[in-house]
Amino acid sequence: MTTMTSQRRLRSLVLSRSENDPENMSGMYYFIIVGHYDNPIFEAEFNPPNKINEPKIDDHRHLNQFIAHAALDLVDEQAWTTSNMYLKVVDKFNEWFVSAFITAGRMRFLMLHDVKNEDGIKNFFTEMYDTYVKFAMNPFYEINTPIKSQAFEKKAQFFGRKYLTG
Amino acid sequence: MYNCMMEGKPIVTCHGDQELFSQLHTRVVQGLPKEPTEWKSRSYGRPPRTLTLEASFVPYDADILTEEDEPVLVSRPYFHIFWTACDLESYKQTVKDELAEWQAVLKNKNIPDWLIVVVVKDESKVKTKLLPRASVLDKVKSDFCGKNSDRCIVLTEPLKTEQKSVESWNNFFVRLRNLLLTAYSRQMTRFENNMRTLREKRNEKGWNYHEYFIVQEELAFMLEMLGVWEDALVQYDELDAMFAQFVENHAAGALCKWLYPLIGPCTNWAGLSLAKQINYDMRDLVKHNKASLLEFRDYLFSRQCALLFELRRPWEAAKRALNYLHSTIQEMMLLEVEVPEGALACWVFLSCLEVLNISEKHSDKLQIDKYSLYTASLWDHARKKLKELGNVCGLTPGDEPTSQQLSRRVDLASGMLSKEQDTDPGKKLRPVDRLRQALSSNNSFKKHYLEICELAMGTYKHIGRFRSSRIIGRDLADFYIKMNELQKAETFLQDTIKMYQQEGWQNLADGTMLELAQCQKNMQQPQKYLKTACQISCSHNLKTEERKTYFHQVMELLSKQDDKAIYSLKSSGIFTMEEAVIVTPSVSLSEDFVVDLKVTNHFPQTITCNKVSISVIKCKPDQPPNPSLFTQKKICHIRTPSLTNGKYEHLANFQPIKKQLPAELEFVATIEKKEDKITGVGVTCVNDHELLKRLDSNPQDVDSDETTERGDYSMGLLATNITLAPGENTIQLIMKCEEESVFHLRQLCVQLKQMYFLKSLTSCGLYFRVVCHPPAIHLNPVNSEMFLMGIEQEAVLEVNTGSLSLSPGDQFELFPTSGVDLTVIGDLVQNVAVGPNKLVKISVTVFCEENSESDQNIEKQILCHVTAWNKTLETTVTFVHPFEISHKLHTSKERKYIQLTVQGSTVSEFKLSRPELCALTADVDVYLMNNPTQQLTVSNVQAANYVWQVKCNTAHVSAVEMGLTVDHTCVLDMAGLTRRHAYSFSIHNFQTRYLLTYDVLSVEDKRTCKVGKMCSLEVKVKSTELAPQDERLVYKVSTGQQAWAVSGKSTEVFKLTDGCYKNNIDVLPLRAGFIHLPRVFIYKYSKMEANASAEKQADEKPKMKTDQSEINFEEFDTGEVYDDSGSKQVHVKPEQCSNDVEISVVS
Repeated sequence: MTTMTSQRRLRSLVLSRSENDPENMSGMYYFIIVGHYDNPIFEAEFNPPNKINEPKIDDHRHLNQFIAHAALDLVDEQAWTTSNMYLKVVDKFNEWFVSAFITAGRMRFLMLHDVKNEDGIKNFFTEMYDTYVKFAMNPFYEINTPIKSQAFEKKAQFFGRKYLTG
Repeated sequence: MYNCMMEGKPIVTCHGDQELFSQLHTRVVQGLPKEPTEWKSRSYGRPPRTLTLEASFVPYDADILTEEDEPVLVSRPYFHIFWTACDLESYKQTVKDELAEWQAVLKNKNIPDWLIVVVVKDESKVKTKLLPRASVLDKVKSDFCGKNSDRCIVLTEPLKTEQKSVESWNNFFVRLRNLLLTAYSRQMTRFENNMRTLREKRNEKGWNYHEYFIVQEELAFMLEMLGVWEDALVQYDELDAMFAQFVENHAAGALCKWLYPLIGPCTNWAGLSLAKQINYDMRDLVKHNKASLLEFRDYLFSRQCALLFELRRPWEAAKRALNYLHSTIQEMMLLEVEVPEGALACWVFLSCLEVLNISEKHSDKLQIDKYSLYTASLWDHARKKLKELGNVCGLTPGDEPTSQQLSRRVDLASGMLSKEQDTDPGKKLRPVDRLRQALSSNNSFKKHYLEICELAMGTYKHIGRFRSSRIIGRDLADFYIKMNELQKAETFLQDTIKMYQQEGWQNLADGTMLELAQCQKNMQQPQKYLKTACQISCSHNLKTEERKTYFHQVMELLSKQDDKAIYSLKSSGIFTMEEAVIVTPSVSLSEDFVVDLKVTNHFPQTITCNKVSISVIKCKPDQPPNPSLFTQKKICHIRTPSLTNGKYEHLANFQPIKKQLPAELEFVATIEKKEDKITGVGVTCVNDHELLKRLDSNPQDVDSDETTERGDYSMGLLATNITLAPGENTIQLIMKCEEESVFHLRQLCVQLKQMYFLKSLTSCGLYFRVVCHPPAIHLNPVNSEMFLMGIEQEAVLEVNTGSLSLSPGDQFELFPTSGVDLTVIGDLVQNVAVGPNKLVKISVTVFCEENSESDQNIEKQILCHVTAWNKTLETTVTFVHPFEISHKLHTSKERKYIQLTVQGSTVSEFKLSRPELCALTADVDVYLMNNPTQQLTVSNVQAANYVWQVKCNTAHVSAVEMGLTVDHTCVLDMAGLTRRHAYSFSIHNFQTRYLLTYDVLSVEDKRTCKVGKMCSLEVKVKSTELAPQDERLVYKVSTGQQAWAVSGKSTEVFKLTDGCYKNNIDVLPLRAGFIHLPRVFIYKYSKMEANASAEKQADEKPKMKTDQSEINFEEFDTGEVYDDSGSKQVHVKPEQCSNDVEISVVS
């Protein structure tokens, strides 16, 4: 029944978007790549080193996805306003900021974060873009399908440590 | 003072001839803004702007003059004009003094911005021309202007419309505008310098933001007054940012004393009011630091909005609104302002609605898109706040308000009282009234909440933010559940799920599905609930406990339900068919057709399915599938293509919200022709409507493949009581084939209690064929390749059961065939069961009588009736003669011999013995020349010959009938009998009548022949006593192989004289060596026409027609003429080699 409570919590979160609670700054990051069909193809969470051993709350993923998905509207809208790939913060949701990056191939990289870290996220996105492009060149990988690659995950975690939580 | 400001024009004072000015006032006020002026020399390097200057002209009064360093901008008289139209006389008397006094006052106040206007009338102009230095203008210039000659200007005939006066007006305005701008710049630069100085002191003790605010606002007012709204807005934005910074610093510990009055307990949350350009009451409160934080923020934002509206950018007001609301709430929180619960929500709601109302008023239709972009989220925000209020005040459907909540409603309503009550009646519902209504009762709240939801969703949809719209829908579903309007809630939840599924966010979709399940459970619609619950229990995104809970609920529900109720669901997501294997796609009738299925069970627990079945239909005979389908094992892998992962299969039980784009573009080449000439060539995309269609407004398109209609299972494959563990399972489905046809596998149905999980198989292209091989019989000889007449042969009757089968006791019945004896060895009753496609062998013996009349083979029909099948089977058997016999007559002079040749026709050997030939007349006797006891063997490679001598007992025997009998035995003959074969024949005219001899002799020496030397062919014919008298005969010389040349006649008619005839014919050998003599034939001559000469026919072949006559060369029967020399040869010597020239004469 835990998920039911997470549903309820989510619903209450839907209520009050974007009034930041400054007490709860924790430095968590959630990264997701969204494909051409608006489908998620890669997810990763980055926790600061001091919180890495905290027990994971199950509905994190659900909530993260919820926020990321809801932000897609804004990402799509803002993509037209700039020629930059990095869109900076496109949405706010409670304590979460949503930053976005759109590759030349129109893959959307989204980052949920609760502290501002514009440069770090930009660097992370750029490095992940590079990694993604290399990965996509693998003839056995079909574009828009979920990325199931340990190497890719390791890279993501490495850049996450380097630019986000480290 | 404020009035001036309200008029919004800088003040210019006028002194001097008031009467004159009142005449010109209208012209001046109207003329000034007619042409725009560029404002170049601006303070702090601001970019130049083009302005339309206006001013309000007031009479001069020394009292209204401000000190130069007084920090006012708006209310300051900027410019001072002295008007005069006097003549020189009055100038000297009064005007000069007035001017001097005016100048003195200005100078005293340090005011350098003034202008003296000298209005010149016609007559005076003439005067000035005569005495230029004595005009009023000159006087004024010299008296007051000194170096600044531009401070004095002449206005000629201002009331006329002549060219001259227009020009002078223009000059006047250009001068005035420039001077005005100079004055403004000077004042503003100084003002701004002071302001900046004040700002630099902001960290000093005792500094007060509000004082500074009023100062900078003064600058903003001034800029606004000049119409430079952009710059005015910048002033407010700076103030905004500065305040925000102070608040942040304050919260961080850098306390500001002046902030304390702002953060007192909040008692009013009337919300933003944008009705007025400037709310002076509020401004006073701000000025005296009596405003609350909310009031201050409201005032600041209302000013920003006012300027934005001036700038014709109402959407920006909407755009800024959300940020403003968020940041204000944040500041309230940072500063820990004490505020009753719900009050902030009220404030946000009211402010949202106010912004929406006002910006709607200011927006025109063309900007609606730009504007909706921001209003959408404002509506959404208002909705959220209203919902929050609903929760706080117990207004949510189903909630009974507590007394605390009731009193809270009253408190909140009182705090909404706006200080100014100026309502414009008849207008739209004011935000305050709306909120009051909403808070008044549950029903009213519901009405307003739904209305606002509708607006928010509609606006989101309008700008294409479907996700945001659906999230509201999801929230709304929750509200409808509370209202117990489950139907509506279900729709919204399903929409949300569809969206998530379509975009591949399974996690979210399945999460929402839990809500949907609860909703449907309350709806008492087991069909829907079962669907959702099944999906949940099969979702890999949810927790196992949760899945199990729903699984048990499903099972429980099913056991409670009426057995007759049937629930058809799509199988995808619940059971996945991984593979279907058809090992033998072609089966015989009454055999089993088998399909091996690999099915993945996604339920969290093992289940036992009542049935797993696949429906099949007969294919129409006119649409036969590819025959190659039936030749080999067929494996159908059903794997979702990875590219479309989560696109098709996963939409189980939910209709897709948008149709998938076609995977390929269909192009058609179009060629336009005109009189056989191509006038245009193009490529047309046929399915462009599918590609370019809006995708989100077409939810009705449902793939027919995705129906949940259960097919016809009257014919199909079946497996019962199948236990399926979670994960992959293999099931074997079997169908008894009872009909001959081609079948197509249509639908898979997994039945779990009353639930049917259906999966269409039509797209898999699985076919199978039921074929019926008819039974057949064959009769085959044993040890021989063919059946022979006349002997009893061992044979096997083979019955091929085809697609049928036999059971013990089934009988065969052989029908008799004339001329054939078919004897069965053993039993015609079947002892053991025989399946399809088997051979049953029955040993028989076959005997067919010989047909002595014909040499032809005999074909016979063999019929066999099988009682069990009620069928008469038929086969054709060919019987062959065992051997062929031929006879031949041989002659030696007058003696006669008969040769009989027996040629076998099979590999099998026949032994011949006891040959007997008998003539049927007594005239002849025959004597066997062979050894009579000899046994001869014949086969198809070996023949036997018998020779008999024939002796005639009487002189004339014209014909003799003869019969040959010979005994034969054969190993193939089952009877082992010695059988007698008879052969009869007859011979005619076999006795010798003429003896023919001929020879070639050299003409010269009668001995040797030489090539090229004429020789003589000597022909002799002798008759026997059997020859008739005076018979005319013909001989014919045939020179074969170009060995001989006949010189003279080669054919001649002759008669025998005295039983003898002799003739010599010249022949010429052409070749050397032993060569055969020319052949000579004799024929009976029968002349049809008497005068015909046979000579002419020399070179003609016998029996040829000629023009003149017809000669019959009637041949003799075999044996009538004995040719004695037929094989004789003669040695022809070659020509001798001599010196003589050899001449061959060939005639």
